[in-house]
Amino acid sequence: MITLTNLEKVYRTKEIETVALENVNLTVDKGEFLSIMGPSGCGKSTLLNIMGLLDQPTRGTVEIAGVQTASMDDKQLAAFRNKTLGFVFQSFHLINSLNVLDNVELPLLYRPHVSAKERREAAIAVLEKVGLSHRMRHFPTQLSGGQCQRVAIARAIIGNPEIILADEPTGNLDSKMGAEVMEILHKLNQEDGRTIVMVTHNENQAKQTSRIVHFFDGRQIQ
Amino acid sequence: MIKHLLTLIWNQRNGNVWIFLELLLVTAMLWVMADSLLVDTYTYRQPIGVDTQHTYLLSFGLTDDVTEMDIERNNQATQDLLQLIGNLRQCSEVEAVCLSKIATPYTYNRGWSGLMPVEDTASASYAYRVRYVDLEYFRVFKVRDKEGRPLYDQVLKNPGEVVLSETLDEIFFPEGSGRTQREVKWGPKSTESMKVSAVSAPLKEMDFDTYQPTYYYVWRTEQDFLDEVAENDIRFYNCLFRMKKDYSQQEMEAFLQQESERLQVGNVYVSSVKPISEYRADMLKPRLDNQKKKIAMVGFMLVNIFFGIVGTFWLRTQSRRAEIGLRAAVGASKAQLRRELFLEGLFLLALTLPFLLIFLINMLYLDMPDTYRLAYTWWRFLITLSVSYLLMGGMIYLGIRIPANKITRMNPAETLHYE
Repeated sequence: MITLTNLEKVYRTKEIETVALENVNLTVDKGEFLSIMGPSGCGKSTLLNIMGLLDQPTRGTVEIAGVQTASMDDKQLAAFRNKTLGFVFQSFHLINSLNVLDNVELPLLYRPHVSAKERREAAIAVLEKVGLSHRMRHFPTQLSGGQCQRVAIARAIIGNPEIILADEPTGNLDSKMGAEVMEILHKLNQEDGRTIVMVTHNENQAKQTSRIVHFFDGRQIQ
Repeated sequence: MIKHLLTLIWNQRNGNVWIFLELLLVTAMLWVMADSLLVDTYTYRQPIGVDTQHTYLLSFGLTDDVTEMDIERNNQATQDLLQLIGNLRQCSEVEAVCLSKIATPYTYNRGWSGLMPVEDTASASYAYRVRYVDLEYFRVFKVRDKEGRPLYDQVLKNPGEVVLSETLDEIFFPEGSGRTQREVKWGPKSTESMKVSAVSAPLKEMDFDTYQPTYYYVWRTEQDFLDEVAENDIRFYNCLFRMKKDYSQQEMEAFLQQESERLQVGNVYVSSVKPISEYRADMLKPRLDNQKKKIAMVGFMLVNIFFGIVGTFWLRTQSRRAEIGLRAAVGASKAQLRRELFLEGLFLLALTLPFLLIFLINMLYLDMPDTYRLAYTWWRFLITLSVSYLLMGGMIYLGIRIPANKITRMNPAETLHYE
């Protein structure tokens, strides 16, 4: 589903050069739930951003769903992200001035030929799926952290993407809420067959996934 | 997308209300400034009704000048002046020479006198601006009718002592008034009627003024002038002339020197010659100085407004970097993001329109815009409103486009860090 070949990411400023990723070769199979672990600053999030086409590698190639992404222009990248990828971030990244329903609808807003009615119906359906249909008219500031993350998951899956990329989705949550979020992610993986790549520090959560990849200083160590 | 943006604006109303008020206030100010400058520009560009290029006012003196002129002295001076004018006409450099009273453009030498249509049954006549001129005046100042044809030929051909300006003609003989005779009289009790010989293009005193209802009283013959001057002091009359080309001060002095023998007849001599363009410059100077101050003030305000509006939208856009990153992550292209941000700014601006219209209606109700110099018409409304909103739109565009460009040039991963 995702193939990273000889991936390298170097951050350059006038004074210093920081190697964030070095010679990464990784394949994620369709329907797999992969965890990426490692200490802070080891390049996990950078890797996830590159997989999600939110960042570009300095060297190497990214192939997603059989498509080489290097030659895509901005418009193609945007359309590809919209259709194929769903993101769940540690800090939720919800728009506070939009209510839950509007936040969830957001990806479909950028998808052509989707009517307002279709957007609304799809949003309601995914909110029901994550158990938040009673909070549709609330604003993110009126929700708990766990609820915010469930809204973010609903937003990630509304466009029916094949891949979900989750960057420490339980990092800002207590253990109970974290467990709830993990339960939803597992359901999405097992019941819907979505491929999930999750960055986490939590070993217990990682153990529940189908595979764990460890990173250290930008290198994949196992 | 439109509904989404309007929802966003509404949900951010606590912050947006201040931006909205700023936009409303600034757009209203821009409208006031645009309207004022439009009226000034429009009136300034309207012709004053006479062509003053290459024209001069000849001041004459009497060698034995006295405070009180007796009849004999006045008659002699008149004859001498007429002779001097005759001599001036013979100079090959001179195109036309005329005599007039209270008719010199760009001077404060003005007069008003009552006039009304013969068929008018009103009990009183209104006083209108009057210019006493001989026939040659129409050649000296190339006066034209409203179609642009020379008026001299028409006045020469048609009998009548009076030439109305188009503005006065519309008052006296409006279309559909049913008045058949184009005849006028001094007042309701006047038994003497005068024919209207022609209608000139509208007339005004100076460039920044509006057109005034004006009429010429024409001395058709030399005898008419002599009859007029017999009861008045000759020194109140003006001699005006047009040269075939523009003369510098030195050239004019050389010309007067060259013609000095011809230009002194009896007691009458030429004391000075001043181009009408100088009178114009003198008269316009205070107005132009004011205009410069006004434009400087408008410029200063515009600079302030520019930085205020651009700054507001710049900061507003920058503060939404994470949101822009998120939108990019969920599938918005860079062009879509820029368009959305600009549209949102434009919607905020467009929301001010109904309130601005209420403001304009109130301004009109209070007679605040200058409707004396320029009637308030649809085109005036549309031009000033368009200018105000285009300027605002341009500033909002810059305030959004520049930071939006910077943000969208970054990778979404980077912008997401700005939460």
